Amino acid sequence: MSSLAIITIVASVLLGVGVLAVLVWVGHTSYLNFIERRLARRKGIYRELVAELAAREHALLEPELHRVATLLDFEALEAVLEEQARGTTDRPSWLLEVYDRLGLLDKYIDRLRTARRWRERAFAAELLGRVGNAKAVPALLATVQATRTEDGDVREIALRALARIADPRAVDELVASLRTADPWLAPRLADILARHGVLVVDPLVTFLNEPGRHPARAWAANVLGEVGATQAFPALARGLADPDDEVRAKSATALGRLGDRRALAPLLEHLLADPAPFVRARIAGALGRFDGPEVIDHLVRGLGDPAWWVRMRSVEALEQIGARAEGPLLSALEDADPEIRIRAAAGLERLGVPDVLVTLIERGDRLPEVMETLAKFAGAGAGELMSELLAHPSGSVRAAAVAAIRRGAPPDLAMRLLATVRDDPDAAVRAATLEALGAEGAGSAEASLVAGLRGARDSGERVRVITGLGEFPDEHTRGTLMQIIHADPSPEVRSAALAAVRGMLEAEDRIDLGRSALDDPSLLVRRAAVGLFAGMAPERAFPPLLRALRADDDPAVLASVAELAEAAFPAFADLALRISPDGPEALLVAQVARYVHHPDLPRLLPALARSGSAEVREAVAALWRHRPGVVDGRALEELTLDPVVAVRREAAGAAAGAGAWPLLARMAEDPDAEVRREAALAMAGAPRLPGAALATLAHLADDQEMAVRAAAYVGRLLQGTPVPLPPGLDPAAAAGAVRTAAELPVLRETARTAAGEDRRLAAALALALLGDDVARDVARSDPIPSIRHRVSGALELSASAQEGE
Amino acid sequence: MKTTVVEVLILLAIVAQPVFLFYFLLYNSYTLWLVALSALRVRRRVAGHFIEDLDLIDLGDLTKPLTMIVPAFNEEVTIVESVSGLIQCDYPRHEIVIVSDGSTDGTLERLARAFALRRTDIPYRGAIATARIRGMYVATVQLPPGVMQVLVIDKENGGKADALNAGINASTAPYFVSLDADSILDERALKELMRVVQEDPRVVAVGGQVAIANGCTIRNSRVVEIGLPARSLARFQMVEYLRSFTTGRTGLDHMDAILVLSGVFAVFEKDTVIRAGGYLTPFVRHRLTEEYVGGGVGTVCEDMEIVVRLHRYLRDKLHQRRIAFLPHPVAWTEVPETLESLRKQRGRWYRGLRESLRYHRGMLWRRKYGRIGWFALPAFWIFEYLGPIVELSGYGLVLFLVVMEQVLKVRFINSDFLWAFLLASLGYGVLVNMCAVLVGAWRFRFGLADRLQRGLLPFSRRRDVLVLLLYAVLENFGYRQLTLYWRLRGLWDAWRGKTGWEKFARVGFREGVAPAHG
Repeated sequence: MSSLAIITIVASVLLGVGVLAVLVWVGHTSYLNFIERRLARRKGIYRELVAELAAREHALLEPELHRVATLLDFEALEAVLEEQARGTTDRPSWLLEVYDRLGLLDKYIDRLRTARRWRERAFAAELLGRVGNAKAVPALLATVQATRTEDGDVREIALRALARIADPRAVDELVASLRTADPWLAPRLADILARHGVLVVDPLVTFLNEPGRHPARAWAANVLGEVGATQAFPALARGLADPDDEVRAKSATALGRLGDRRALAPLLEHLLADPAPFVRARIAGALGRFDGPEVIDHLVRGLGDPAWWVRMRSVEALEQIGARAEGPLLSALEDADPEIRIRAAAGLERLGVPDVLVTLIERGDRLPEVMETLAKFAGAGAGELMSELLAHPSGSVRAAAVAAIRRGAPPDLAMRLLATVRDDPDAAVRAATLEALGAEGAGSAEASLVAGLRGARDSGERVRVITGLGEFPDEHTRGTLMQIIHADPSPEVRSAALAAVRGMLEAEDRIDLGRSALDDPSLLVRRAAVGLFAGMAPERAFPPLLRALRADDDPAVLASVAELAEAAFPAFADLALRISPDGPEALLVAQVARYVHHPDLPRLLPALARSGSAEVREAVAALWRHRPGVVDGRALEELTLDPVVAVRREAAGAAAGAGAWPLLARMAEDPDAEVRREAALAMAGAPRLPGAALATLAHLADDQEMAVRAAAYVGRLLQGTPVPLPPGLDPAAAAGAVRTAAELPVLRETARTAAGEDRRLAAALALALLGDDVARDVARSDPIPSIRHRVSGALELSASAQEGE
Repeated sequence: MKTTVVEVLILLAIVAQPVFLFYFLLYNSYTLWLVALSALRVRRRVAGHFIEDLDLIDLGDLTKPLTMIVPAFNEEVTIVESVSGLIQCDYPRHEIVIVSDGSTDGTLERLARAFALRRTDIPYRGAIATARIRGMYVATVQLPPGVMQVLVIDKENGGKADALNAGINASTAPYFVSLDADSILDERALKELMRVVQEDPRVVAVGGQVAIANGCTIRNSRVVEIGLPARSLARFQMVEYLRSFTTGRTGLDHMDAILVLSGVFAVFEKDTVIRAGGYLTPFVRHRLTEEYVGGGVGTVCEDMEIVVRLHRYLRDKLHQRRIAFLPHPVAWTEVPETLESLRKQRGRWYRGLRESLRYHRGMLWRRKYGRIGWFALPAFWIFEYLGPIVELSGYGLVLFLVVMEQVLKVRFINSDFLWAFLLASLGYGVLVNMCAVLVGAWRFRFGLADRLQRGLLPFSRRRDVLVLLLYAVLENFGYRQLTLYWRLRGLWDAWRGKTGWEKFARVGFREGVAPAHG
């Protein structure tokens, strides 16, 4: 055979394998879809039957079950039951009963024991977790313990099933398993036992009291604590003297959880005496749940423990005890370890100690003592607390903070904090700050700040230094700041420099600088640039500001301009009425006006709404859409007849916001489908429509354009009219309209909880178009059968439409 | 002179032809082997995925707390949406630590506004050395019950790995998850990964599949429907992800030899990572990292380096622990949609791969490293690191010899070889791609209840899979060679000493359909 022939054969094989793989995939997915659809059809009648079972009293289940057991299509019934089991995380008693009485439980237990394929066993174990009872526990335990023969995933699923079943009749069996459990299994079994509540107490106490060093005894102690078993107190107290470290530690935690004061004596005794540091740490943690001088006294001694964790847990326990433990916590501020110091400071802050100190400083009461404490906080590295005190409105508090920092804080922290208050309004505090900075006068302070600015690589540090430089308004400083504005890479620094230089420039220079800074790529800087126009005569500020502003600038910048406009509204209004309504400045006025809330604003807008520029008219319509309170009816009517489609679309939104239903009725006849759709969507999103508007929606529902019909249909649903999906309407187009018009959280809430059946159904039908989970919930669990049926139908319709795509 | 040239070329052809043919056969067989292994794994994991009782995690007191670390560098476009998504994440005990890594845009401001941040002192344990911390902030807005706290660390720029190290230092939970600020998590993601940790105490790290969000329908920061990206470039990447990540990593995980957990989403045991020295950065001064890779060095692919180092650490210390991987998608990320962005990304990945492999070359062919030293690392060296050089040389040589045949009128290439070469490189490659796509799109059915079909990437439309199969064929003709070239450029950049990240500009996730243009 020639090489070429071999190559051809290999190529053919590769091609054949590829084509075959694709064909197999197509066949497989078609088969899956087919059996799913077939089963879906057969399940229909059983849904009602199972719903009736769910609604029956327990005593009346028997005759119904007899009837159910005679059914021919058992597979379809099982499918419906499985849906119920999967549809809830609860385990309804009727369902467990039905599974047991129909023999399904035995079927799955048998499958778990004997099925050859792991998937079947795993599936059986999982379903037993959902619908099983104590009867399933032995089989599940046997699966869990078959470490040598059973598949790991199946064992894991069986463990989870045991956790879910939590049948009281299975307690003895589970405790017996805990006694022989391997170390990996013991915590899992403990978790499962804890879900059984107080029923597990007696057998676990017996187990804990047994001699020996079985590691699972520690888990018994843990469970006793978790279930709050007060009768287990003696056994747990004895556990503190157990030779096993783990038993002692878990007994201590459990005693803490019980909160029984009888536990105090043994806990206090072992806090200082136990040889294992982690047991001592656990005991300290447990003591946090108690109170009393002897507890605080022992925890103070715990603060001197050589083990870090014991000290940390002692600090946490003291904080948990509260105000009575403030003294010891203050002493923890001097711990050798910085983490413990900062933990103690955070604890004291939560207890409100700094607030008390502030009050004392303001009253001038016990100052030496207060200063001592503040210095301890500073020494502990409580930087943020000291920052807050340095920014306190009271000068005496700020001065005390400066003094405390100088006394107690490490040098780097002191520099960082003091740099934040260089612009303090109080001259005495500034003087103290400068003194603390080591500067001997204003000149040398400025020089050191400029030098610091050159050396500071971190932008935050540069911002702080620049803030300090603002204190020294002279030619030299201004030059430095201007350089920074033009050259610094950090927007924070540039904007800080703009703010600092503001007071050093004449009005004309500020305007020039502001205009150039409005071209900066950073939003922060552009906002700061707007600030440069503040504080000068508005007639002088607004024209250049509007000329430099970009209409598509960030809303935050436009809002900053709006703040200026609001503060000097007469001048702004005067300018707005003077400028040409067709020019680019008119567009800027309309954009800025969106953020202005002055009562005289409405009188500016009609002129702009009649602008010759479509952009301006569109901006005004958009403004009205978001601010219906300032709408001018006549001008809006003109906009609804505007020759430009984009303007009419915005006007439709504005009309809906203002409740101008007759205008919208006219827009329903608009020649452009986009406008008609917008009108429908705007009405759909309105809170509650009057009859006339609903009639408009109904009219739009017969529109020749699919997109309009879809929007109108969704509008009617959102307004609470549960109309069925009209024939020929594309569910995908309707789903798109739901996404646009509806607030989904509100819609979901309505579908779940609305009192009116129509509103609930209409909301669920809208959600069903999206295949939303809440629609599925409604289809499964709404109390009204007709709602469940209609929503199920809508869900299937939208799912099949998606498949069709 | 001409005779000499001809002789040299003939010799070159004789030597090179079988070498390249063998290489392509070996490479595609290796990939097909991983696809086959992953098919087995996927079948089991999809079943497991279906029958997981994740709600039990909510009920158990043994549920382990977790810290979500989000490094953010100039992420003002997506940061608030990402963090809001994380806050909604369905897990009973977790904290979120966002590390602003010297951001120069409005990242910090947007966070401060959205979550009402307040500066605070927290117990910060400098277990791993990092760049300087400027401040820490805690969110004061009302948080859902499962969220312990939302913390923001503002630090000087040190790179993503450095930001992760800062997050580890601030973390108060025994486990942490590394996240990208611009990715979307699956609602069950945390529970799924933590369930692996919870159930198998040997697991020190677990990662999940990261799928492509372009083209998917996104609602409320969640992917609700998988779709096909609109742009061809993203579709090619989807095929590539399915071949290299979905099936490749799953196959390696089947052999317990996973070498990369995507930085987009992976859970780690904090203490073990600290003991292994933390993520590799020039700031780290740990004896173990200095012993393994030398001091003062970093990497641009910290997600691969940390996994390889953890394997090395665990095996050196004889810990019977493992690193696990879940094949189904747990997170979604946006992939580049322009050639320039993709070039930068591939160049960076390749430089990172090179760094990790070179740092840990001591693990090669060492018995104590088991399958890592004998299979996974050699395969990465041969197919991932040297692959671009060999493959492009193969294509280049064939082209060169064909041209020289025309110039010199001498026959260098055996036509049988040419066909065999095209078959081994392109035909076999097409088959491997198609198998990878089918493994990703295959559906399984469990139980009788409604709509229980499950698959790794459950496309809602069959047409999408058929289109993807078409792209699986086309991927071998142009796109693949282009990515090889970009990787080679990455190697060139590495030789020139380039170390930057070259992050590509994200569009940001939009509600509705994710970034997909055209």
